[in-house]
Amino acid sequence: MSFTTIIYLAIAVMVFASVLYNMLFKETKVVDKISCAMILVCLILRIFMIK
Amino acid sequence: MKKKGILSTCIILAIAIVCAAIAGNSFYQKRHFVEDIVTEGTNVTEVFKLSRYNKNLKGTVGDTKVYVIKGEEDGGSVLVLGGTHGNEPAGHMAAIVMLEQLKVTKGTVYIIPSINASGLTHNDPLEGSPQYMHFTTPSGEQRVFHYGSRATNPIDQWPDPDIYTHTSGQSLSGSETRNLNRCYPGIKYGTLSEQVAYAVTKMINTEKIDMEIDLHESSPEYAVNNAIVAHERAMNVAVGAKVELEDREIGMRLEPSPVKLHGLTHRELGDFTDTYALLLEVGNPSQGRFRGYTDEKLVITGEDPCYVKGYELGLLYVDYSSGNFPLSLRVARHITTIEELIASYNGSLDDEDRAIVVENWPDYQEMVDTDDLGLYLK
Repeated sequence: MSFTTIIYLAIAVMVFASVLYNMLFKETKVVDKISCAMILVCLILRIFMIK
Repeated sequence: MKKKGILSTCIILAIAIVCAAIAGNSFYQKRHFVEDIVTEGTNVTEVFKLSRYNKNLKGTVGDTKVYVIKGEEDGGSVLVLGGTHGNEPAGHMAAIVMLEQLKVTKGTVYIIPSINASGLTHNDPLEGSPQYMHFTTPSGEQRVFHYGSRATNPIDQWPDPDIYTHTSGQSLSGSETRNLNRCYPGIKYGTLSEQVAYAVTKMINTEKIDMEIDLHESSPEYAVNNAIVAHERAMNVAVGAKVELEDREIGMRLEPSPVKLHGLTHRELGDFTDTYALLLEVGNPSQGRFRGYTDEKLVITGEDPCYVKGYELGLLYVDYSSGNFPLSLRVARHITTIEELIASYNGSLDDEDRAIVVENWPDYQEMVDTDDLGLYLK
């Protein structure tokens, strides 16, 4: 795994954590929580290098 | 957080986890699916990996298999490349049918059915492409093959630059850096695509391969279609094949390889090796912009009402009067064109020691009439 990939994955993990935190503790509207969830699906696939 | 809020968050998260698991499993299976290409009971004499010509490919998905059918008598050699673009399945399938069917009595036929193996492990986003193609063999067994992407998988090669600068200085859009057919003659320590291209160039030079044929498909509305694209040194061979194909009522255009368009097999392999560099195109309705609903059926039957309309409006470069352009026809065109290119190459020789004699060619008309590619698989 290249250094660039490690940096990329670190950024993806941070964004994932941030979105998850917002979903759990900040967002109050259901629509916004669903938006967060959709972002999480894409991010998790990238973090695990599946897609 | 209120109790109601906790409940809704948990439900949404659970749904997201299920979606991620389903999608992730599908992508993971696709990425790790290995095609079962049969060599037992065929005339394949040797199978080796492409890393023989570029050690940097060892252990990568780019280290694809090379199948060799060598005749008892020494002679010339030809290299057939399938799967350069994973969303052009006729090339991939023609190469597989050839390696499972052909017999060589003089010379050597090298076949690489998955030259961009990485491109076969994923699909182009937003295209709605199927992941696989299924065929039933004469023994009733079902065989499954990849339907892939035009480009190398970004998991294997990333990030794309804003602008892809080829070694010739040519500039293309950044995503073309993952298009194998813009990476020739390749770079030994370059990106994965460039390393694969380098290995092919090195292989041709090392094995002194006389003719190279790269199998492609293109949208029916694209002008370079049902065509042989030939490097200037290969033009005589291509003309001879075209004439014979016309005699058999198989219309093929003849296109000269553009001198200033770099990175393509028909240009760079002709310039950087002594091989006759050729590229074949057939019309693929599952690839074009006019197409409607996209699924495996469209890939295999080539039936699309949008293309019927396009044909009526005179917008296509293929004869779509039958309302379809099936995979069996596209594969038959590829295989028969290769047969005629080899015959034309043999006819052009001063020295018959470099001839290539191949038997067991699937019959063009039979392939078209039966319209079942599974019959030509082991």
